[in-house]
Amino acid sequence: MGSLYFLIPVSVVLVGLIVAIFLWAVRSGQFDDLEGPAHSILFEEEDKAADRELEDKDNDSKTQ
Amino acid sequence: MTISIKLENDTVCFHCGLPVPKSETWGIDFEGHRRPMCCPGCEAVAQAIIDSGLASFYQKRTAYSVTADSLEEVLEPCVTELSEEAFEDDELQETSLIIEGITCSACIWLLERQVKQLDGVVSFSVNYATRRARLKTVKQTIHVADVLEAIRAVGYHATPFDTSKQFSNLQKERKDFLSRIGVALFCGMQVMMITLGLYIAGPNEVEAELLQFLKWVSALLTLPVVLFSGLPFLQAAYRDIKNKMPGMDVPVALGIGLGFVASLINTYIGRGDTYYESVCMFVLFLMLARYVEFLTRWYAISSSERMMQAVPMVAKRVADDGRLETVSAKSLQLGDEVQINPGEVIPADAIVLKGRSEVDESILTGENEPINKTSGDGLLGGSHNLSNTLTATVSCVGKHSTLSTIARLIDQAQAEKPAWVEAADRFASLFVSMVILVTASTAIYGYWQGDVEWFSTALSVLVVTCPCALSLATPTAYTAAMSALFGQGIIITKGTSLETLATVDRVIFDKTGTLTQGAMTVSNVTLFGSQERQNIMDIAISLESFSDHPIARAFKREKAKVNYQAMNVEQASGLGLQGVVEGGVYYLGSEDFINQALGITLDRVDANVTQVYLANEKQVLASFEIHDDIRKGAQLSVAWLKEQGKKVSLLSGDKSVPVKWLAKQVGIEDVTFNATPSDKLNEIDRLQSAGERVVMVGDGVNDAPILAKADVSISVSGASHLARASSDVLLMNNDMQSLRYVFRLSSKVSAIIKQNMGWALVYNIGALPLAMAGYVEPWQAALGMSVSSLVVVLNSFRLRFTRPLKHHLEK
Repeated sequence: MGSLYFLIPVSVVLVGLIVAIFLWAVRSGQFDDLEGPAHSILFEEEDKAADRELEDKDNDSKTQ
Repeated sequence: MTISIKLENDTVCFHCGLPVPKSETWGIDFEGHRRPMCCPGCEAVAQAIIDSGLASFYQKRTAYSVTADSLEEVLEPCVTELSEEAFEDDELQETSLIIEGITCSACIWLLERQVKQLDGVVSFSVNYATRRARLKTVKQTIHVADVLEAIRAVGYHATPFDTSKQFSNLQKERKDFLSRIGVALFCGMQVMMITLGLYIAGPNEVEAELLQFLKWVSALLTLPVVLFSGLPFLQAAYRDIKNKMPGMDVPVALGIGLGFVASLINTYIGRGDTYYESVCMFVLFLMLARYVEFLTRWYAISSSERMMQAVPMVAKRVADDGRLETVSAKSLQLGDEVQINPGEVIPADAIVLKGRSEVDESILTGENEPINKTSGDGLLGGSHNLSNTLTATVSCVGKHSTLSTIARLIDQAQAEKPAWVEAADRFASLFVSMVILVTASTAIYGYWQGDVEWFSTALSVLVVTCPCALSLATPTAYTAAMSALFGQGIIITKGTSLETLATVDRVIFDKTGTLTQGAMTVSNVTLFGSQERQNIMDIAISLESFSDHPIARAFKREKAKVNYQAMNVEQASGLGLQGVVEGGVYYLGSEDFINQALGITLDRVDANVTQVYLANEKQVLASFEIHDDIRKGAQLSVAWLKEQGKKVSLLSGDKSVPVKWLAKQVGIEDVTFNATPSDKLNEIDRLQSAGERVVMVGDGVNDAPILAKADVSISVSGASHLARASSDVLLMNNDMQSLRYVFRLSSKVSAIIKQNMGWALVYNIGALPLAMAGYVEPWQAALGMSVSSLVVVLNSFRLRFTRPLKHHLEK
């Protein structure tokens, strides 16, 4: 039972941390758009591929 | 995958999905295929998208884009000058934009790529949920107008907006809700965990010292729940008491406050029970219910893409030196000269100085037909200029203008709440006062009798009678019904309206925009004689110009090549016209009319389309198919409402002939026409004082006061912002049939609420004598309270499983 005197305050501190992180997330707008990012992650990769292509072309034109 | 197949169809526009006219040849070559387009606007937009290297938009999209209205509109340079920039940095400037026309998430991708390509744009991010974008640019490198232009080129409309508006307040409110719920959830979970341990262990198995420690920890964890999450209840209760009008928030706040304080005292003196977990759960449940209610309201407001339409933001003022300057519409002064281009909204009440144009005032007056305006005529602020550029002097600003008058009518109507709302408020205060009275007298009696347990008894009484279940009875039912309706594209902005809806006697429809959508058009012409199509059309137009039948409007919208003067025109009321054009007698009208006139029998082609025939004295020359503009499902809904024993009326500001025609089409007998907004208001007043409960279904700005005044107001899709703001129920999809689902669910809701109320009352009243006699321990009271609340919540949850019956909707 003695360990409870240590573990429960730890859990309280953890809850405090969780609440602090949650409040930060709400205030910094993490919950503002719950739909868009879910889709944009699918496009991101292609974007990078496209960027790379562009870069490659740039590099090509520079080397030529 | 079905989508990509669906979106590669050769008979519809590749860009927007509208049918492609057979005779036209718009289209672009893309990926080795010829992609047909419905109009040059879409063609230009698609070309711009492909030219910008963003062609993969067409692979990513999951819905068609919005039709690009016309070539001129796409290519016309954007003239909006920005007077206000939301936020200023040393080198960067930030602007907020509202973007219209976003149909799927690929649109976001397209927009972001398109704008980020521009020089000087630091960042551009679009919020899919709210259709807002934030633009950061380097100062002096790019003008915001150029960005708007780039957005227009790919087929979207962007308008800068003032961040100080209502929207950011709502956003703030939402964050507030989320924070409070989060705190209640995390802290409440922890308290519950401790309490659960104690429950399982039983009363005497835990060491006294450890028990005391756990109680202090619970107290510490409950503190933020009460002081932060429960703050709105405490504040509302304080306000209620200050106004001497105790509402449901008072016992809620008392329950929270006393429960917490009593627990604290008991913890301090080391005896008696604590109710930390009950307090936390109570706050959490109530906050959640309010949050869902808030969410539906928030969605209703932020989804309104026509937000800016009723009141224009900017006006083009003609300065002293003749130059045009763009100013905010609010800053216009009496006597200012403004220029209004075709397609623009008239910024203020004004008198025409120069020019001649047609103006659509339907949004304000309900008058469907465009009105010709020349110099000297008055213009209404908020109406739409259609054909030519007008110059006008501002004749009225501020609180006397037409729009403000309508807004004032709304305020007035909202102030005069229907009687039942007041009754409900009074009942609540009475109940609350009784609870407090009973608790206080129990405490005093117990103390006076020298009962050592007097506080515990009084607290049991308060907890037992605390109308938790009672106060949850209605909101949970509303919330469950709201989310069920939300899934069907129906938004409830005021929960109580659902309960009222089940008891209404009369449903009143507005005409323009509500039962009808847009205007009628001639969709197809079949020629029987040898005459040319345009000539036939010209004859028909010249005849129909004498009629104000709604079908005539379809012809008036067509362009005549030669303006014939029809003579000796006779009208057979509602059936057709007969007249002399260029020396020949012509008949134009319904099948019956032609049959009668020529003494023949026509072959009926299709009974489902409205057909109009043109004939001379010998033979039928042509048949015109008229595209009906009656809202989908309107007839069925009206029939269904009548079946349910509701009275149905049509109340319109339009003229008698079209109103009567429409009433016949949808099957409404009780018809009022030529009604001004104040006439409509009086009519509702008359019905309400005759004891009827009235539902108003409308859409326009002119309907807004009536919507506010009616017991329940419903606005249909495409309604103006003002109308939405004063509505209790918003139908977001085009089908009038969703009206049935609302009615069906509303009767379910009132049944569920009655069950909930009955259960809560039985529990409260049954437990009260026991608690007063001291037989109920506070922990038992708290348990009883939680269980009774849980029963109510679960009962309400059944509403979520009410589905619109398929055969009901399709019948």
